[in-house]
Amino acid sequence: MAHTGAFNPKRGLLAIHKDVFSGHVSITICRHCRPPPCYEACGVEGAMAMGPNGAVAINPSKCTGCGACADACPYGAILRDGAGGAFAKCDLCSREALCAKWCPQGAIRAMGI
Amino acid sequence: MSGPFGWVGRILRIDLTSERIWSEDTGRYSRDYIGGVGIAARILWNEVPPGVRPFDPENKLIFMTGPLTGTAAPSSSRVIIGSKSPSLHPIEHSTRSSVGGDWGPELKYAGYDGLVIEGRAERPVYVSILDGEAEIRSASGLWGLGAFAAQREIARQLGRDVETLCIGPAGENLSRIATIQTQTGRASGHSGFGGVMGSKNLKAIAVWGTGGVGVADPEGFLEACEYARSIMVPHPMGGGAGGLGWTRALPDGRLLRFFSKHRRRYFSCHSCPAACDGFCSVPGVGSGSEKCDGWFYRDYAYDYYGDGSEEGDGAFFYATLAANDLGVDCFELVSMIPWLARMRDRGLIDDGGIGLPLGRIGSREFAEALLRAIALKEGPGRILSEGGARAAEALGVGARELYEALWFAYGQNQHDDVRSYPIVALLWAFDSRDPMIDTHAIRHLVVTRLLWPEPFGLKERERDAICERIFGSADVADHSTYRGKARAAVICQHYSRAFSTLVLCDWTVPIFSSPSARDHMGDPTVMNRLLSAATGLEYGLGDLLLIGERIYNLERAQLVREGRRRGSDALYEYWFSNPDPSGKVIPREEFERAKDEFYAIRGWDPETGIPRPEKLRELGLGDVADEMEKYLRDPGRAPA
Repeated sequence: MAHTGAFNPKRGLLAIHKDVFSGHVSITICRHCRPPPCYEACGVEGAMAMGPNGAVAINPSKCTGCGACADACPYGAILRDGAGGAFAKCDLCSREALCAKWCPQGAIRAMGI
Repeated sequence: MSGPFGWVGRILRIDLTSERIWSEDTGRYSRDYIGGVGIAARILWNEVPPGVRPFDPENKLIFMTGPLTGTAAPSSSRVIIGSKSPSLHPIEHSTRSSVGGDWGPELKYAGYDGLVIEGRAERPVYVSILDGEAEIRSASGLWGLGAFAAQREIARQLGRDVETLCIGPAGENLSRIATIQTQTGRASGHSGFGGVMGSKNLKAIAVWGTGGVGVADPEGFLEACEYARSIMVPHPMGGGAGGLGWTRALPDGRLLRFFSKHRRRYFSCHSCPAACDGFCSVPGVGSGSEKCDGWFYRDYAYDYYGDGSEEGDGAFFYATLAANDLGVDCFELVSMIPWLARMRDRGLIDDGGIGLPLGRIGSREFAEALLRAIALKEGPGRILSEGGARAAEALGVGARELYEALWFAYGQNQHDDVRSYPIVALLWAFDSRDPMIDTHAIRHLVVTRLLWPEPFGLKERERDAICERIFGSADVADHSTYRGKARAAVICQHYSRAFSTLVLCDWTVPIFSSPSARDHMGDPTVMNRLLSAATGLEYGLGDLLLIGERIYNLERAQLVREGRRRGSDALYEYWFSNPDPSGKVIPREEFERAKDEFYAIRGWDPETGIPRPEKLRELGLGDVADEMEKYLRDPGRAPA
């Protein structure tokens, strides 16, 4: 929602895979690595910026869609889902961590931000 | 985002006979009917005239979401299904059903608020809707598969994580008690719509999409969601957010013990804080969902194998999974199995005659024999797959007498007790099907919550205050009299139609009471607050209930055109003459007086139970009033 302006969990940057037949649930989420391999892999000036809290954000107007960041991510947490073929990743919603705020089950907590 | 908000704007239409695929504007219906049950009722009225039978190609199968479906609104997963029902008896009326899970939201992400299927494919097919693109595909390799395998195979064929509604063999074989299934234990059950899908040679509908559902006021909407959630939870039947997960909420140590051994996690439908679905695994049986599905076999299985036994766990869970996989309505079996047992005890049937091991009810073998016979329409299944009402007719007088002691009306089996609770009797009397499916809230308010532990329970004083606020009087909670029940029934009907347009789940709305609020006072205005913030259109609770009244009257007009009159606003004779454990029967005269009162409040003719033209016009149903007048002058004429 915060990232696309509309609801569709499939496009969320916190991806939940629910296998209703095996009962298995897995979650793909940015771990905000330090140092961040995505940030180090990006060769486009201004396409990625690191915020004061260490969260890396993608600037969709500068991102060329080359995918180097997604290739470098060990968790598969960077998606090609930004405007105009840009990539997108969790940027902690400008420190608000809205996923944790809205999780109805209280299953997400924002720690150490 | 610049809109549209709430609705995504289009309803997809597919004619399986001509293979024509097109779409229409949701806006054609949404102003007057919002979505869900309202739009389904309007399309049924417009397009499915009396005379069309459930399994005719002319019957339509209507899947409708609402403006909250697919958003973060709590408990907003359900899709409403409308069609002519093969399970209803004696008239195969138009009716409604619904199913949760994730299919409804995914339909919207794929680009459509609804889907209307008509016609009949020449050969078995399934429909895929992937990011707006609908396609009719061969189901030749799917026909005959259980619902679980069919869903997995379709996901494999399409190469995506689709959400799928499908039928099992019961639907393919046109059982009247066949379900439409999704995932492992979510079903549109009691209206028999699985058979309607089967009659269209339609195995499944798979949807997938990357589109979003936008809302007009994101901040206000999320605040409304948070408020709604805060007064909905903890939900007593839910496992999420402090609920009891079907365990201590039911006085049933057997289910508690089963869950403590075999439940691996809770699963939620889309955006639901309640999480009432327990995902279980039992060695040697399989994995899947358990909620109330297995009710029909639980006690039989443990009586047969012993409390807490592994064999009992296995038979109980096998029956749940097999019914869901074969696509047989679990709830009909709640009455069908005791009915078979009673017929055996009376000597009306025996093992050899009926072809079922009746001496071993409770065993895994009996569950397998019964479910497979029904789903495949073999042996006894040729009769039993028709549902209790028609099976009783086929089996003769004694069978019918015993049938009436387990079913209430219209071929729908008992749900709650119509003798003990006058409000329940009236809700049953005026519906086309089991009404408790979208009026659970009134049952919980005036009966169940008084028995539940804190914070779910209500004190009598709290209950009465809530009844005063919602119904204008605490009379609705006095089960010794019909006084005040007609008005309460009318209000309940409007609430149920209102939230079923949005669409929200009747387990959690309309929030008459709240476990977390002071004095447990609920707040039904969350429905219109969510709707207003989502769509950017201002709705008050009164507006929403008025739309509920419009929908209820439109549904009634359709029933009348199909033959419904005051005389059939009734329950089976059994319930007027055989007392409940406390000695109560339905008091005939009081019941009829309450009906008089109901028709008067509704503005319907008390002699016939037909909505008066001026009432229909007052509700903005002028064209329906005109059509009704023509129909009443000449019931045989074809509708315009």
